Amino acid sequence: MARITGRYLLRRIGISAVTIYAIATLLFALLHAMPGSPVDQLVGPSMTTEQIQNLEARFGLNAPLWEQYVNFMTNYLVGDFGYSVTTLEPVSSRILDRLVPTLILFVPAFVLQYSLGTILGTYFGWNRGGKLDLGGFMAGLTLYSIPFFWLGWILIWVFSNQLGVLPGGHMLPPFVTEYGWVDGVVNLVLHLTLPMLALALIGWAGPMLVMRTTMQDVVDADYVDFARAQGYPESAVMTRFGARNALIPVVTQAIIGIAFMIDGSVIVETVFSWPGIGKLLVDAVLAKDLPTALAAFFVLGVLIVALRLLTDIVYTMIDPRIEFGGTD
Amino acid sequence: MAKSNGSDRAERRTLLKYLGVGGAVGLAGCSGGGDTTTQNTNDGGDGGTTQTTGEGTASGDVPRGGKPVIGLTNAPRGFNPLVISDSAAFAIMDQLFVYPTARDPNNPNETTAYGFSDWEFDPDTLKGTAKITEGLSWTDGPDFTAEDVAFTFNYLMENEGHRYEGNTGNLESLEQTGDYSIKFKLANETAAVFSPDTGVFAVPILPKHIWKDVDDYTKYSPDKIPGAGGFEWTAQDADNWYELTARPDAFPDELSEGPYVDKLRFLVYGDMTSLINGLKNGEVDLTYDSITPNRAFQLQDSDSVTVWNSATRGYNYIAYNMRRVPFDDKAFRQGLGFVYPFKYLVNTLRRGLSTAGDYAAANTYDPWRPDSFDEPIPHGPYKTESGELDVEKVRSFLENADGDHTYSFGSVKSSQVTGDKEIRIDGELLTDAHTDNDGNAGQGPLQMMMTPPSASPVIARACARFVENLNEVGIPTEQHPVAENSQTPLVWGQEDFDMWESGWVYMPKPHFYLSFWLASNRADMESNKEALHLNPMGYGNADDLIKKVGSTYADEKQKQYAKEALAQIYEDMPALITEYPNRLHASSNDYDGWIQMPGGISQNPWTYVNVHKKQ
Repeated sequence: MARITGRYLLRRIGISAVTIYAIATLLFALLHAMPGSPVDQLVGPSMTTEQIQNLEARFGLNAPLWEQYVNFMTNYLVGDFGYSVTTLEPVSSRILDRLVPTLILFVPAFVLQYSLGTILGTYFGWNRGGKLDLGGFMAGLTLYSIPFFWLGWILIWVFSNQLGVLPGGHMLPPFVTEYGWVDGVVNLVLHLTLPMLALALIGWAGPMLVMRTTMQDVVDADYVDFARAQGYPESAVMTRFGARNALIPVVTQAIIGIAFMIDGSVIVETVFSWPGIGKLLVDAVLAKDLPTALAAFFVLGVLIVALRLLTDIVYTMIDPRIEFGGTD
Repeated sequence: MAKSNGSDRAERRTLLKYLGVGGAVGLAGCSGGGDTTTQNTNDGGDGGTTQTTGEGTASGDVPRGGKPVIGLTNAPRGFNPLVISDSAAFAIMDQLFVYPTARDPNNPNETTAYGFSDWEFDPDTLKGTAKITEGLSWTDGPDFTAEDVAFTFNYLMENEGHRYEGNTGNLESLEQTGDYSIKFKLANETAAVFSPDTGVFAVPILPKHIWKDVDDYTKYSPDKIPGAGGFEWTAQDADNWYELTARPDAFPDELSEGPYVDKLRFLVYGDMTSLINGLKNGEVDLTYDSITPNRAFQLQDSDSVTVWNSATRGYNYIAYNMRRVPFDDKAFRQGLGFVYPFKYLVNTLRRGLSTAGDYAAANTYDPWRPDSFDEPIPHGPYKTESGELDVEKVRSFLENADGDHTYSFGSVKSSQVTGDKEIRIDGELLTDAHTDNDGNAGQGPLQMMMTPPSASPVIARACARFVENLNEVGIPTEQHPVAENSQTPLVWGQEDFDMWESGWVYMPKPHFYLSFWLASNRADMESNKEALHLNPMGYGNADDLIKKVGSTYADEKQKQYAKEALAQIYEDMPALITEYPNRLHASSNDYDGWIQMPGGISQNPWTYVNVHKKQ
């Protein structure tokens, strides 16, 4: 029997759609709650009231609020985020341009921190009370308490300023227009290393702490003893019987971790001059480019909702006991 | 500091000495030379100076080559000069577009040729002519001619709402009279015709062959732009870096024998800390934006970096909302000058790299500033000699002031007050007398609207000390941090503030900007309109004097009127000018030839045509 039913899946998709709708509505409300007008950035001191009204008309801000809301939702539904009030470019193309660098940074950092955190959490939990467990636990807590920007600066200072082995910023070497395939990848990896480490070194502690705790719950479980009795090696008992059953809370924690990492990526992208969506968000907010800022928030919100949905599906794969929608 | 600040002229001499042959000779064409044309550039405020143009003095010693990198702290927000007001964008655009005139690098108070080689203006008939510099060409082919100039100004006159409306608004007509000549007529008297930055002609000349197809400039967003200056746009990775290639053969030697470098590169960093780091690592050769005093002092110990300490053209201020009690009273506003912590700001927070403020004109514009507080009218000074708070002096000043209200000090009732007495206004507690824009009393303690410390730590600390001082005197006041982006609609749109800290970074000579933000036609006096107004104070008492300054072309007369207007503004105190903070830029020692002007070394076109590898 399928562990997840079509009906359940449809319901989850429906809930996700409502959540996205709520996010868009909230953003619309925030847009209108902010002081001033979104076109303030384009308004010059020499402009007449009529000219300002024309500008507002161009951005659809002179229509009744309900009409603005309908237009806003309709446009967002089809991915039309309007035009930037600073660059006059379509916001969607700005977002797309910046999404790729963010994913290049975000995905490996996420994989690294969850791989590292889960593996070490498994080991620490299995060997609770040992020197490695205590040392790793303390290291994790310490790193978890460090602000992203501070760790970023330390990494730059050590590896870029002092040792000179890794670049301290940007995604690729500047002022080079053409790369060979190998050169491009090598340079990308070199530039990616420090910002990825800044994210992962802080982020690994989250899954490590959760995994360590849940491993302690399974370490004395009957099925673990039974596995040992069957003659499985200790490493296999730990990973196949212990870790797999302890993974569920880690997956749940990953959702929180994604939000935490998005928060961190905004800071890390600024520190490392990484041209991603986090940096775009900061620039847009500072420039009061509300269409761009709202779209960036929206895209990040959609990303989190989509990953939440994905997690529900992944649940069923990592734990055979879980069935969604089977009794509905 | 590596480069000290002094008088402009002394500073310039120091710079030329430092620059050596390259700096002095490379720009010789700007200040005179062989085939000179001498003309009076009595351009209202330019000092009745003698403008000379001619062939440049040859220099074979300046090394050519190199690719200096200019560090930016934000990505340019577009390359449409009629819409964009972003300094990072103009860092690039100013190397591509040609302006009719420029500041003379040898004397920044004078105007020198650039897109115009010669010009005349008759203030009686309001008619003038100009010759266009020959030898300039657009990077995509056509020559730079009077056709481009005529097209640009007529395009700007036909369209509204662009950022140059203030410049061209006074232009009645402009016609091409030859391949390299134009004539024009102004609608009204004005003091600034050819002045760079502010004059009628302080506009980038647009390429007609491109812009003739731009029907709606507000929707025009080019990815890259052709230019007629010393550089050509050659490569970019949008939002990351931009590269311009020098075209010395297309830049007339009469203007400069530069550019000497091969390329000019602009690299975008996430923030100033990253940029400074790049400078230390040798990735960057110049910080485009001004750096803070703390960073300057940190960098001065580096062997590879020079910190340039330049006079400012702007100032910081605290604006008062004159619609509200007690700011409706001149005496109260004057009294606050004795409370402001000038010494703390200049000596402690700025570490000496600033000057305490008084007039609404930076020290750079000394010829326009009153010679003393006694001339041309007695006007203060409204600050203590030491720049430190003297509680009794403030109280005494207010109690004895012959203002619109009477002030007295009694027992403390408000929780904000830390001193032993609290102020009464016409016998009422300030918290009761304090009104809003509609005259409703009982608005509570005064509010000091300021940028949050995270965004502007120095100013925030100065404001915090000012508020502490006010409370010590007995004037109940609270800090009111508001994000910078939200300040504009609150202050310029709704005039919803008591006191507001802000600043102007690049102010031109006083003859232009006094009407820009200190005249009543820039104020919403009743505070009942939605449009933005640059005079949120509601000040209008110097209108006549400001009008005289703005319409007087004769140099000495105009300066005298400026002194009178500045003295009157100081006396009326619609805003407390708190400081003239120095502009600090850092450059690598790999390059030489940076041109220092008021405002710094980064934001004038000569610095980039003159920069060269260090010999």
